Amino acid sequence: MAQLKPQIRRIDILLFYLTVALSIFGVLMIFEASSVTAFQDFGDKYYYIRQQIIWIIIGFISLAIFSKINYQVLRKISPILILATIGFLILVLVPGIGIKLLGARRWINLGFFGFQPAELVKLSLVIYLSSVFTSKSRFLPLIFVLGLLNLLILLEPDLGTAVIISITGFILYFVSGAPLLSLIGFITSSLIGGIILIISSSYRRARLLTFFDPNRDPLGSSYHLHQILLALGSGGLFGVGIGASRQKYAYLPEATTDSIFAVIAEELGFIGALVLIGLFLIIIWRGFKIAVETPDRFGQLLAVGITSWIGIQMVVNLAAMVSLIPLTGVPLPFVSYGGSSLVINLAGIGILLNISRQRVVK
Amino acid sequence: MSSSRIKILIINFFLLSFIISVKLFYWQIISGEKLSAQAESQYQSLRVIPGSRGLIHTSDNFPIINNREIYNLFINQQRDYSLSGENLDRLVAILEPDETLKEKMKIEIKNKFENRDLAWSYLAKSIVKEQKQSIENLKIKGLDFESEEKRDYPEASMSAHLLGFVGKNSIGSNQGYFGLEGYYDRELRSRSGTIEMEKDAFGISIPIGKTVENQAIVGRDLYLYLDRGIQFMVEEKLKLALTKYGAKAGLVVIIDPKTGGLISSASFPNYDPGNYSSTDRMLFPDPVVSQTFEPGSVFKVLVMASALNEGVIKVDEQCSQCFGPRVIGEYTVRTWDDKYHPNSTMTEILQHSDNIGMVYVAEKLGRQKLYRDLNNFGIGQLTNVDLTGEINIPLRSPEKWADIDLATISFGQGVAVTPIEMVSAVGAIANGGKLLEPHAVNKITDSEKTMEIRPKIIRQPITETTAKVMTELMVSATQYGEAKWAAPKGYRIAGKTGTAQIPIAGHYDSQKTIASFVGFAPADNPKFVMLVSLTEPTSSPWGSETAAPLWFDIAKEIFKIRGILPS
Repeated sequence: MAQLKPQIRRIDILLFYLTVALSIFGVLMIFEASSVTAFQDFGDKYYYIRQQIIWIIIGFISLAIFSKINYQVLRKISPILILATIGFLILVLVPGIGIKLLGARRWINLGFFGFQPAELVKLSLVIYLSSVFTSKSRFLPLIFVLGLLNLLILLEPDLGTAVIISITGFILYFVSGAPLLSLIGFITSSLIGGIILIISSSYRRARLLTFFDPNRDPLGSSYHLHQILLALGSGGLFGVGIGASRQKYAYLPEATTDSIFAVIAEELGFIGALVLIGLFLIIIWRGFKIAVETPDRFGQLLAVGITSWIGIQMVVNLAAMVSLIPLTGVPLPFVSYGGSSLVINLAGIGILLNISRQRVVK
Repeated sequence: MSSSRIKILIINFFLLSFIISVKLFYWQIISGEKLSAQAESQYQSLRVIPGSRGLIHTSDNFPIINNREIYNLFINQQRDYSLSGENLDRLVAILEPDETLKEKMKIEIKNKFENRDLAWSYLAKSIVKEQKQSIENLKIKGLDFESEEKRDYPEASMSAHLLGFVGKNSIGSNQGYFGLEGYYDRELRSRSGTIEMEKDAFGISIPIGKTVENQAIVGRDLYLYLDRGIQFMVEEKLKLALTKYGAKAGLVVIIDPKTGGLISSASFPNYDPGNYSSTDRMLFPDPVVSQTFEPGSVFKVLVMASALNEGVIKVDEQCSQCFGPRVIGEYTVRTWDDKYHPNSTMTEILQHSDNIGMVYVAEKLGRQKLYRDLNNFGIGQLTNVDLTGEINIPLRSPEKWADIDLATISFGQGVAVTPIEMVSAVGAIANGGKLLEPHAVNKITDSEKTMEIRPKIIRQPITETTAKVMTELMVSATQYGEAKWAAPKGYRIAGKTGTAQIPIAGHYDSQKTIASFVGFAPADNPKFVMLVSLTEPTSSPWGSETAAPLWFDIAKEIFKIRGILPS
């Protein structure tokens, strides 16, 4: 006779608080780092922060909604969701609908704000693969869906998102119990594809060369990395103090988005940066803990997928900041400025929290 | 679903975070010092604040050279910039008053606004404050001004030669050239200050940044002996005289015999120091110090004074050779009017400006003493006046003089002196025999102290008694000499006319002369010594008919201005 384990009907409150804390910390740091450029660009030093507060409200509403919707519903809508996402990815490439910024078509204009389908891809893919892998680990759907999504994303182009969804897909495939041989096959083909991509584009090649020699061209391709390192070095152990960053005065590109960690490390020092990394690790640990404690396979895969995607995004962002990997333009989850990313991340946490209701104590 | 694979994931995430933290430790702690030094150097901005150049004042404390702020207008490419057609019209209207040039300027400005490659492009240079304000009122985006100080001349080209001008040197900074600007450049020059600030990537200062300021030090001010009223009057009179006598050039130098101070110094043709760049460079040097002339008869007073001082002749001694022309070697010496006055006294020799008499005096004196005494008067030497570009032509050594040389020097031919040299030598006679160093600057001031430049006695070429006797001789030369008709009545004036032919290619051209008059007044208590010199007067070649009347004319005005009463 199968013994029923008692179900816990409470959400993981620590995960929730950590998410709130990181988001509020993000808002503060964005205000800090953006007031200078906001004033220069819009004559209003609250411009970015006002936007971000609106996004954070939308984000927490979606977190609340997803934490209430039974995640099993997601399994049913997963084919529609992935098809809709592919539709958006095609739409964003259509001139007139997609907004071209800094040489890339990443935004769909929704009138009062822009929306990035590439962020939605992360969530849709995790839901879709989790549902596909629920019965058993399957290689062909993975390769097909991932290949199609990557193709569309690289047309924007958005290498950072492509890297993140590829690794997320791989991790889901890995935990779904894929045989070792096909895992090696996946890695090899991804590496070959990646090398071809880098060689085929001059700007990616320049970024890679910069990565190997940061002093190659301090005013050109390595300028961004050089300024990040100056920010880190200025921070030292305890940082220059809140609000005292010099690098945010237009030296550091993307100070509010991809490079916000550099400003944090400059102002709060190595200690502050370690605390931040620690908070992320706790979130990752809680996420995987939820996965382990979840009774059904779909819920487990979903929890692993969401946690991995957020964790990978953090690792890719921070590794680029400390020059372990080339800069790819990935935002730091919850902290970086950017509406689509924040809303999707918070929605993901909402799903995680919902799954956490179904936990069983082993 | 394998929970062991999830554990592998967790371990991997912790491992990756650890590696990131190690690398972060490397950048923040191990390389921290080096990186933060690099970072700091990119925030540093050093702005140079130019100080003001010192002013030059006349004796009535009027700033004859002032500073005025001018502005250069440029497009700051680092900011947004745009220009509407309407504003373009207004801008051009402010910058270019000439209707015919407006279209050309419009096209130029439009091109500069459209060409974004230029990092720094000037739209206009040297615009004045009023123009700057009208342009600012247009509120055109991206326009910026840099300010610069320029010399301002409230009295236009007055005393141009004396003052000199300020130009740019080879490294592009301000430098004084010629005259006082050149001589006192180190005093007038300001020391630039600096502001060290932290700047953002666009070069704009950061509000939370540190600021270190080193104040600029303004240049020192000069106060001259120059009397503005007299200078103005002298320039007017000299200009009129040049026209009246049809002279090519002319100069007037007036010094105070008791201090050596330069009361007035004027020469024409001159130039506008505010517009020096469009001037013929040959006009820059001040003829008063940088040009020599053959003094002719005005030189006789120095030879006569030397002979009297040495005691080789007496005032009432009669010239035994003054009956006719003298033949010396292959040359024949004549008087200027070919009239001869046997047995002339020294007084009469000077009155008649008698060349034969002067040869008699010089021969009595002998070449060695004449050479020594003229040197004592400063002839052939620099006066060390505080002006740029003074030259001197030393007297040849007496061993090399032929007999005819001794003779010609006695009446001022075969020697070359600068006007300042001549006037300061005569100043010694006016000053009881003491030769003073001539000076344009009376005092130099800065924010802390005032440096007084005291009169400097170089030496005493003649005794006070000789000076008195010589003064009397010069008074009678004025009263009874060729120019007596022009002398103002009621004043005792000691003076001497001179007419020197201009040597051209080894011989003299009798029509081309330098007419001059040197003298001082009032004879008993001299307030000024003045030299007037006119180059190639065409109405009459004689000093007595050109330079002398001008001298007296100016003297009358000085009596009025200075309130000197007739004796």
